[in-house]
Amino acid sequence: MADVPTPSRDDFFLPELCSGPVVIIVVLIAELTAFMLTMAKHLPDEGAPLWLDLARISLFLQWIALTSTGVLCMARRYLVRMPHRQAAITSYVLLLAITLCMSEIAFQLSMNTGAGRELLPASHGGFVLRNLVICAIVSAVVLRYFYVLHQWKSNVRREAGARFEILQARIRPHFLFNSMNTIAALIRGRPELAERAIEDLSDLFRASLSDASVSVPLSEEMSLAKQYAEIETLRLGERLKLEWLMAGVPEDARLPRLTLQPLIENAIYHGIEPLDQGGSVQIKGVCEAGMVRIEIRNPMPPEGAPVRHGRQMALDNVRERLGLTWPGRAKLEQERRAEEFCVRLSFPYEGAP
Amino acid sequence: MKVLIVDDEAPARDRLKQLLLAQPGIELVGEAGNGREALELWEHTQADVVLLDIRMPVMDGLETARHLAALERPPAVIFTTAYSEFAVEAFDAHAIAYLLKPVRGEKLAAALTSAGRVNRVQLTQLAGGAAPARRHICAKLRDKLHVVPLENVLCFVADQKYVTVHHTGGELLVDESLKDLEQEFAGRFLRVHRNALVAVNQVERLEKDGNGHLQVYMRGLTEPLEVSRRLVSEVRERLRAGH
Repeated sequence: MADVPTPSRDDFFLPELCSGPVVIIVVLIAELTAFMLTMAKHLPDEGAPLWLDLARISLFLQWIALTSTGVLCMARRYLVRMPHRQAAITSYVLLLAITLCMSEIAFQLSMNTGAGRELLPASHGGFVLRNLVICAIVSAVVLRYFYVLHQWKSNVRREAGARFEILQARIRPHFLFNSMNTIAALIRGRPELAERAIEDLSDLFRASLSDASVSVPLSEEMSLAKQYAEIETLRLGERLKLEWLMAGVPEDARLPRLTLQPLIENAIYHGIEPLDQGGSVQIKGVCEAGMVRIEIRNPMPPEGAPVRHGRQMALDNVRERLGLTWPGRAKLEQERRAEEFCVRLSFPYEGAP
Repeated sequence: MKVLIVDDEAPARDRLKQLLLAQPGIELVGEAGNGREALELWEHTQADVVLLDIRMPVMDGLETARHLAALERPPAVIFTTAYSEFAVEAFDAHAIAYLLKPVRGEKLAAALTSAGRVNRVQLTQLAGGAAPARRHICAKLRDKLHVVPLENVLCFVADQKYVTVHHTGGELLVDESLKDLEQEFAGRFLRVHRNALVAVNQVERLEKDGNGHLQVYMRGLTEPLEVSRRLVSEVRERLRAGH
């Protein structure tokens, strides 16, 4: 199932080394090291030899860096299974071994072909040892960098998870007891409706008790919201009408669980219930430019009617959960007109993973 | 015992009906979907006990209880509520009767025997300290109970004994002091004279009469009301802000 996380893979401190962004970082680190080594050797005003040196050192370092990346990338699946400390030591030893091999190859090549001889120190052992020391320092820093980056990312993830739990959509107690009352009333006269209501209520509670950070397809979220609305219809009768205009949205669009339901609950609680004649809640969705937009409208009681509190809390809650899921890319706007309240939800369309 | 059920949800009314049927000596005399309907229905049925939901559209249970309590022979009131967002639980069941939904048969039976009248102090406490302003004015006129939404009230005019309520559909007499009314409806009504409050949004115009006295003309009323000399500047200011 897509819902099941794979902690053993995600929890490893070395990133997927074969991915583009990581390779760029490695190339950048190697190049900066090359630059540093060149600068240590020359003063900037010496002109041409500096660039020549930089080019050769870069070539040598990139060669080592990219080979190391490739090897670690392939070794990653074995490293993942080791405890962190052992994996770190193994990676470190691998990096030193690669440097050793590369230095040896470079030395032998240069000796045999004569290319770049003027760059090499006279002593074979000195050349290799120097490279190993430099590699030892740079590798330690780079591995540490990946480790800290990984710690930081998993902290952020953990915090987001904790926020999510706090923000987990709660079913209003009022709704629970009113539903129970409705069921109690239906049991004798219309047992089949009471049965349905209990099933719907169970599904809703199961959803509200499950992991809130998990995303679900829109079709699932819609059917949950419909089950919720069905219970409310039993209670409010003809006062409640729902209009679903969702043909324009792909059903496999994913969103955090219990995003739609609290918005519809709000619309009913604040919009329909206080109205003697009730009204209609309209849920309209479109998908354009990779964004899913859903609009929920409900009529509002006239000014002067007692205000029911708690609307803002539910909206802020949904807004925050959207923000944690799609930082900066999802939006929840609200607009109050004279006799209408409108909530607009937009988030990126992501098909089934 | 004559009982009236008031709840905006049909299943909730059904549930109470089922439970009442099982009680001996109970006559169900009517069902209402909100407080306003309940007051009208009460007048015809003169129920002894009113089962009153707290959260309802148009007129909620607390306001309804307040109007009922002001009647000459007020009925006993039993509140029903789904969740104790109101301070019902703070009340001893003897002080004020309430039932939590889903209602239990035994509790209903107990409440029916112990239910009494509620008074204003209890209602104020129930609402969490400050009694919220009413949204209706309720009064008897020629033996008929009238419930007028506050939006329809043009002005309150006091004479020696009563306060006359001028509203879009006529006049009513209420036995309340102008001072209390002024306090309760402070945002909506404005004092223009020792004996008059006017609805700020129903004022048509201000005009001076031949003697230089400022008069306020209300929409739908031909006779203007006089503005006291000492209130002139305040009235002008409020009306300017209100428009």
